[in-house]
Amino acid sequence: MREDEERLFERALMLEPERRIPFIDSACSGDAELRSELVSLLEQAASADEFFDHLDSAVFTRSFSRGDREEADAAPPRDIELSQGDTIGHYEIVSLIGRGGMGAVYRAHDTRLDRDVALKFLPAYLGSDPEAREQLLREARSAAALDHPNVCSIFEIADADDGRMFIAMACYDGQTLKEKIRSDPLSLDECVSTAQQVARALSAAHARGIVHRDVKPGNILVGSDGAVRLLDFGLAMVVDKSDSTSRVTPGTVGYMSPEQARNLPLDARTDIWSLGIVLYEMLSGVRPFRAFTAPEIVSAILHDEPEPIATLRPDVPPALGTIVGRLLQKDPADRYASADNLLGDLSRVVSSSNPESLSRNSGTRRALLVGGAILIVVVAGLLPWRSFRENAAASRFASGRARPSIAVLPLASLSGDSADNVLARGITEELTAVLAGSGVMRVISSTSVSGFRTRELDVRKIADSLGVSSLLEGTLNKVGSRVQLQVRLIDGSDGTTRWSASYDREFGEMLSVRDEVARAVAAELDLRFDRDRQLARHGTRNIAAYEAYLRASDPVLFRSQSGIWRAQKYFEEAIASDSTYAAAHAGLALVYVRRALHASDPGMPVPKLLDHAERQARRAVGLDEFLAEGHYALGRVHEAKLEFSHAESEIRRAIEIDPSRSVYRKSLAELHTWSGRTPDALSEANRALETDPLNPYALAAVASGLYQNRRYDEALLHFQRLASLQPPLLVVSFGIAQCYAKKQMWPEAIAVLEPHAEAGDPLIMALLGHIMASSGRREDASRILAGLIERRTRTGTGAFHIAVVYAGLRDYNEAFHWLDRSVDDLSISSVIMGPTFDDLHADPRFMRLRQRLNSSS
Amino acid sequence: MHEPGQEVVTRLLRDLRAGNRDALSALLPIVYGELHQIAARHRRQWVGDESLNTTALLHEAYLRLVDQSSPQWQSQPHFLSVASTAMRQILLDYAKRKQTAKRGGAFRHVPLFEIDAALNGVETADEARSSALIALDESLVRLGKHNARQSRIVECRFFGGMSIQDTAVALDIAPATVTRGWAMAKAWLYRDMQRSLKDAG
Repeated sequence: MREDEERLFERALMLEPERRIPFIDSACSGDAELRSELVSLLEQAASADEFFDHLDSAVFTRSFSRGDREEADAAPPRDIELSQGDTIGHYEIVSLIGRGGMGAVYRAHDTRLDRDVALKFLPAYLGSDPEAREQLLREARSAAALDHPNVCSIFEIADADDGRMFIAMACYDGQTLKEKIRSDPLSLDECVSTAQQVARALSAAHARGIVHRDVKPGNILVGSDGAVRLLDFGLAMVVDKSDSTSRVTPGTVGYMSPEQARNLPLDARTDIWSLGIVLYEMLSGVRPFRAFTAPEIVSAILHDEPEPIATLRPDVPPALGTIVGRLLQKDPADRYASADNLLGDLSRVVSSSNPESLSRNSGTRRALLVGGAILIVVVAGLLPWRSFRENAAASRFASGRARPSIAVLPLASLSGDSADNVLARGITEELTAVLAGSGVMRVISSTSVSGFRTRELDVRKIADSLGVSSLLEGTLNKVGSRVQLQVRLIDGSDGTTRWSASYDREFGEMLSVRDEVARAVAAELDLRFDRDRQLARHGTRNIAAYEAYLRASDPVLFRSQSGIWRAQKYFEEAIASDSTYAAAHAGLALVYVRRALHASDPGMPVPKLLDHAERQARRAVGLDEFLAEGHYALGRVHEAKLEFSHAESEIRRAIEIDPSRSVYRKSLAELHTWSGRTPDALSEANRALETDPLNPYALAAVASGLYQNRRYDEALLHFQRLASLQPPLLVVSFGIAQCYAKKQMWPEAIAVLEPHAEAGDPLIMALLGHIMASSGRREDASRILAGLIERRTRTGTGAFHIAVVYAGLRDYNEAFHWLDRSVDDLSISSVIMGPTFDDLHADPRFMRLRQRLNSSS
Repeated sequence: MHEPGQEVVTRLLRDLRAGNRDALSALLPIVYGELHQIAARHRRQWVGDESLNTTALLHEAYLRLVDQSSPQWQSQPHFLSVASTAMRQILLDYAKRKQTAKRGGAFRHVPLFEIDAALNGVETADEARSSALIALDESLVRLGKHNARQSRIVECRFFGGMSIQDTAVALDIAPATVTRGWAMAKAWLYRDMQRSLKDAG
């Protein structure tokens, strides 16, 4: 009966609306109740469908991604599946190349012409809508007429047996620019050459009145022969019209021009904009307008100015930076009017900064010999270019092929108990470290990732914004002495689960669980995993020691004075339980270094703290030569003792063992600052930021680097992005004040520092005194000076701070006197190398000071 | 549908029916990926982006499954559909609490046309969505009394995001029956929601 009812309802629905009631009437003759029920339901059917559709899409428009929706449907409507050997007309399928935004792409053999082709299937709706179909044919035909070395050739557009349309096009070996950008930084000449080739393709297309509208790295193919080809001409327009959701993926939205975002009429200049985004991304690895959701990205495209490319990649020649800026003008009228104009400027960049062409030019060489001034200018322009090329080559050598990359999302603690949160953070750190220590994959540090815990986002957006191919996420639940750990490995490209596991173990088995997870992840990502090295990493099998270590390594602890004490207590507990625990010794060493540098420690004089630190660091390295953290700790001890060359070799060793830790690179940047290599300091800081893109300390290091290189406005921009952090980072206020001071904005500089005066950090006070003195408030400066002198008598350290104020008061004799003593009491800081102390740098006594610093190592 | 894990799942479900509770712990990792997808879908339906996180929801649902006295799950889709229902209950309670709190006490019914208009609008108001889902849930309970199979189909298809095929396996009926039941259930629910919201004022 029910069954019949449903059958009747279904059959009625299949009829034209006006024929439904007569059908029901005849089918239900004699059953008036059934008839009225069915009629009443049929009346609702159309609105009901609409309602459910609205509800469903209301649910999904939030996520803004079409792929997302497909993922959520347990069984997404699949394209027709083709397998090897299937034939479509005269094409025989060889293999599936991939699934794009529009449909599947297969490699196929053209049996008629005996060549391999790529078949791209278009979404079904394009075939069924006659208007869309007509337009598609028109577009594809005109694109097919484009015979250009930088345009992917289209052979034909045809129907498969089931009515689906497909495009047959040339099949090239190589990878998309998207994959290329992800796997390795591109050299400057690769960037410029790729941009040139895309511009040539656009120039040819625009000349025929074809606008691409969807220029993005995913549509640019870099052949293994180096040739660059632009794909999918003419498709974007058709697809846009028929399905407005198809372009609302964050990936594509990032390349939209402002006029495209506003839905205004488009011309060739929209492609010029998109090429600008592509060039920016090639150079820096990131898109200029970044956000997690499509609306935020659109808003940035419409309103925000992109960060100057040079701040992200300092070796970009200014002329190239100008080109990028011009490509990304919001108003099309301000952009290059044509791809040809752009090509002209690009070729000038190449000829002016290409070292080979310079050295071949004997005229130029003579000019170099004639005028010393010119020599300096040209060499200065040349160096970053060349050093970058060497770096790029070195990094390619080190990384070999595209390495898989992973980010470990913070494990969620199910209980929400704060002790468990600490444990979850600790295990997250641990997993990250073990994976990073394997050296076979790129691991994004956890600080960048930590923002993602509370507001869960689409995993693909996270993967995209961190630039990783996989994510590891999970939950942790501690019940008594048992720990339940659930983890899953997610493919960042499509959000699917590649592997998952759950562990319910005694806490004592966490170590083996950690290693198991790491191994399983590595195996899943097809990696060789050096098990012995992993096991050697910590060398403790003592659970009490391990738990204490996990608690101590919570990064939050290092941010406050009381946290430092607790960290020290935990590390000491860990060592008490297992005295051969290398990582715990390294941790304790860093605690001592930090206490020494802050010098506000009542417990122990600085040299003694550093002695403790050195003993712990050496013990760590002695126990485990392959522990990056041990070398880092030892490096920091050497730095604090002003033994710079020893420091540098230890820090470099740490980076070699674990290249994923931004803090190691930041430390290397600091050492460059000490030795006056300011451009190196900036590029190293940039590298730190690259490994850990959202780490505030890495960003602060870049900002400091910019300041050191006298780029005050850019430095201020960077610092100000960090100014809202709570609790405020001293290094940020310090940096902002120095920039303002260099711009002679005294009240602003003082206003930044004054809120910190109460806390009494001696370095902040010293800078405040210096700036007050420089601005003419000599009496206030003297009061601060008196406080610092009093402090020195009390603590026996802090000569440097006194020197800083004397420098502001222009009492250089006193300043150098105290600087000398600051080398003895180790209170000297690398800030002395910065532009704030230009006055001192010009003095011969500063040269002597530097010699002394260099000889002490 | 012939995944290698399928046989294992079937065996584990059989063990569970036979009273071996450990089988459930072994089952979870195998179906974790699917459960996570279902949980993610539920979460988007009910609460938007903040509040309950997907993994937490999954685990709460899991705990409810563990508490069931005599699980009779026949197949992996069946297990998933039960898990999906558990998640829906958790989120429904949550949405009602939130709605009640926001309106300062009594839960108020919103006319269906208002909900539909809001859903249809450019700005998708969270509230309209919650109201719609709560109203739908109440109607679904009534449908369950009138036609249990249709209500199960809606649970699988709409709330669980399951395909016609999987729904058919979960409910052990023919795919065509799923299609027919789904079409009619939608009309029935829509009519019922309209009536009850009209009655409520």
